[in-house]
This record gives sequence, C-alpha cells and structure tokens, in this order.
Amino acid sequence: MQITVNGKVIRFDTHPDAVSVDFLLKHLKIKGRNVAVEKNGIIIDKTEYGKEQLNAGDVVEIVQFVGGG
Amino acid sequence: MDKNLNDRYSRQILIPEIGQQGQERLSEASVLIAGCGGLGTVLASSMVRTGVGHVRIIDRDSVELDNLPRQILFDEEDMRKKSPKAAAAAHKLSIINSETKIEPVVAELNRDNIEEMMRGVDLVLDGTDNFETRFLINEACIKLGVPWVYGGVVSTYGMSYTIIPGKTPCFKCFIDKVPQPGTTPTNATAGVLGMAVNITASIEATEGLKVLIGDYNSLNNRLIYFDVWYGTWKLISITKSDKPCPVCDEQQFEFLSHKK
Repeated sequence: MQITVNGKVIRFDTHPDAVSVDFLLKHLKIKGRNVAVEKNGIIIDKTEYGKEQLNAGDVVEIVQFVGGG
Repeated sequence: MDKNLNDRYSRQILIPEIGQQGQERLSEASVLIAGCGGLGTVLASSMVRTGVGHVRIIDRDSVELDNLPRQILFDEEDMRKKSPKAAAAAHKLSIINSETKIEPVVAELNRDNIEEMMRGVDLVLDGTDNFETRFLINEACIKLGVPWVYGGVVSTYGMSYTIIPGKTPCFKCFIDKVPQPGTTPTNATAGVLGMAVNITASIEATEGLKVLIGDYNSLNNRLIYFDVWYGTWKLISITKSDKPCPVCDEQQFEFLSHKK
C-alpha cells in the first residue's frame, strides 16, 4: 500500500493494509514527539500515534517544530 | 494624541482594526523582545515603527558578518565595531522613532533575570534561537500571566503560535520536551533565508499588535506553518491533551526554578 507524506508517495510493500503513525515516524527516522501529524487534514492526538492507522491513499502531513531564529 | 503623532501613524489609523484608539493603546504598551537576531531585529523594528510606547530588547551577542544578510537593523560598521546587537538595534531604532522608549539589555535571557526583564511588560515576542529559552519564556509568561508569541524559522520555512495564559494551550502543551541537540535543524546546520525570517517575525508582530490593542478575537488561534520556497501555508489546530499540562495546569516551572 502507499500513502502520501508531505507531498511524496511512500510505499510499504510489507504492510498491505495499514501502518501506525508511530511506524511511519520510525520509518522516517523522526525522533521524539516534537512534530504535529495531520491525516487527511485532521490533526492526530499525540497520545494516539501508536493506535492511529494510516491506510492506502491517506494523505499525511508531518510538521516538525522549528527552533531557529 | 497630538497632530505630529496623527501624521506619523495616519496610514495605520486608517485601518479600522487599529484606528485612533488602537494607536493610543500601542503608545501606552510595553513589549519585551527576547533575542535580537534575525527574528528579533524584525520584531523590534515592527514594534518601534508601529508606535509601541516602550520596547525592551535583550540579547547577549555582538554583530557578525554572517548576520548581515537577514538581521535588518545591522550594517558593516556594527560588524567592524563588534557592537552588541541590543545596543546597535536600539541606536538604529532611536533615530527611526524617537517617540518610543527603547531599552537595550546586553545579557543572556535566563532564569535569574527573566522575571525582572518582564517587569511592566504587556507582551513577549520570541526572537530566540533555541528551545530551552522558549520553555523558559513559556514558564515565566504562564507564571506572570503575560501573553507571548512563539516564532521559529529555519531554511525557507517557519512557524508561529500565540500563547495567551488561561485562554490557549501553552508551548509545553504541544512540545513535550526540549528536542535533543542534533535532532532538529538549526540556522547553523540548515541555513536560513532572510525572507522566511521576515515572514515569521511579521506574523509574530501582527499577532502581538492584536494582543496590545486588545483584539483577542482576531488572533490566529492556530499554529501557522509556511515554506516560502515551496509556497506552502498551513494552519494547524492545537488542542490540549486530556492529561494536565505540567506548566499551564499544574504550575510546575522546571526551567524557571534553579533545580533542573
């Protein structure tokens, strides 16, 4: 299955049905929880990252908090 | 307001959201600019030029060559003289608007001085370049009940969020802890574009004006994220978790207290 993350298509051949948000963040090597994750335009609660499933065709936006100034 | 002030601010007063009353409120307001680099120079310039009555600027650094592409208040002479940023900014702004009381402080903003720096201040604008100081500002602002506007910028993208104690989620509500060094890009590692700085600081400054004027209904209420290179603009709702926040719900001030 494939999903779109920040405008780019990502394929998960080993997961035909769904992956969790946690799985995606690990896959992208995003450490910590200092990100906001939006699925199909709706923000996912941080406490739900382990449970929330991303299915084929979902559009995901990940925004990392910005520290520079 | 005398005729001179009316002349100076006539183009702002024409904006119905500001008007004569808003302009008068600005002239009575006091703002702390925390950090006077890329964001801070634009924030300080915006506050002084729009006619805020008192602007306190704190920064510990001196002007360097690689500041000049984006730190709009500094020039090559400031760099050659290694002028402290807060003092150089205050000097430049004092000849732009002599009506504003500008107070430069050449020091690091830290847990020992932040409450003194916030004395009499109606608003704190974030011109810092690290998460630690933002956590400190957040705690001091929650403790003292002072609104603050977060802004961050790296490379070609930036974000901003306005925190009103008692009304909105706070900084700690959406960032659990200070990211480990090396896990998030900085201006030193990823670079930064002046235009992205200007946009971020302009969003912060505009939010700040709404706070100072008292137009709370017009605040963005969401995290604004943009990438000026790719033309991306997003508004992200920030919701409080079901769990109580250690800072804004439980008043635990880890960064303000001396025990860390």
